[in-house]
Amino acid sequence: MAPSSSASLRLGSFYALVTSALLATQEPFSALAAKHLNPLYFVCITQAGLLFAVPLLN
Amino acid sequence: MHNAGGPPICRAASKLTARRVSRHDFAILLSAPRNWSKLALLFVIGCSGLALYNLGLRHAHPIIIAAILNLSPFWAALVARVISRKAIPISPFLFCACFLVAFVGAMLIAWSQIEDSSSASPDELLKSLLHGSWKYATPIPIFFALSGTLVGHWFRELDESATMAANFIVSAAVLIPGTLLAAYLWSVPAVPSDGKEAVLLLLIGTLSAAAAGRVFYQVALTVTDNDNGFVTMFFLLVPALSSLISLPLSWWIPELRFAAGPMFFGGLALVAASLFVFSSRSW
Repeated sequence: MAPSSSASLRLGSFYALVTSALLATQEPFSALAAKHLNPLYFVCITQAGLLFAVPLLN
Repeated sequence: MHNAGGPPICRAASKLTARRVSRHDFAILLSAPRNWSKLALLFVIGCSGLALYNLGLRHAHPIIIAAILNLSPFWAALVARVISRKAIPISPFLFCACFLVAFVGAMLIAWSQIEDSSSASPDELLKSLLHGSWKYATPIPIFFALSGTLVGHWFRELDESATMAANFIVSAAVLIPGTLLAAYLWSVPAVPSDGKEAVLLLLIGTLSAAAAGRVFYQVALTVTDNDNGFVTMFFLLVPALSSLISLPLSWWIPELRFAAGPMFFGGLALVAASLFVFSSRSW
């Protein structure tokens, strides 16, 4: 596969930075739930959140 | 990915078209039997990462957790090389040098945020290292990178939002009934009434990180032609950004804290400097 062009890498850097900012919200926003919720409910609520996201993505 | 530039009417039209394309791709993904095995494999990869996290890192020292997760650019570059045959856009020596400096910076940030409690002491770090359960967690970043690369490899012609929405449907269809059934069978007490705040925050974090973050990750992979090593290098900023996001939240949630000491800013400077060199040399 050929190396990506300079413009693609620049755009990729921008998207990667936005991704980093979004991924960074995971830990502080889930810290309270990780302490107070049973792991089963933690997974269940996380999946419910992803299900809520489906209409927003389409 | 769809172009949304130009005057407002063009942007609105582009958005509508994008939504139509996304819905169309979403329907194709879930209705074509050839995609089911791929979606199932992505689900298994995601669940394996979750299970290994629980097994290896649930009681591990925070520094060990940070070290394992911060190794992700190295594993992602390896995954990109094997699956996508994608070489790093700069020399391997420079990639390794930038990665090592950014890794040290990210570790300094993690260390700067550790509370002065006995459970996070150097003695506990040694004990946690010797216990060795962290070894099970080593593949976690590999699974994360593998999932991103495989989605980019298999579904490159399809809209990223639609692809991730299909993945979310598959995982929710299995895990929501599965976890509720397990909670019922093991008589797990219901979510306490004072847990509403935790649930709300978890939902916001999930929508932001696991949903939007994952879609942007796939878009970044698409525009860089599945160059996961390049994209994941920027994830070494996550510990610093997490700490900064914790600052306003800590005024509301006492469990969160942000320690703005010289170690934090030193670590941030190392990460920023290495990413600057990495980006400027790649472009």
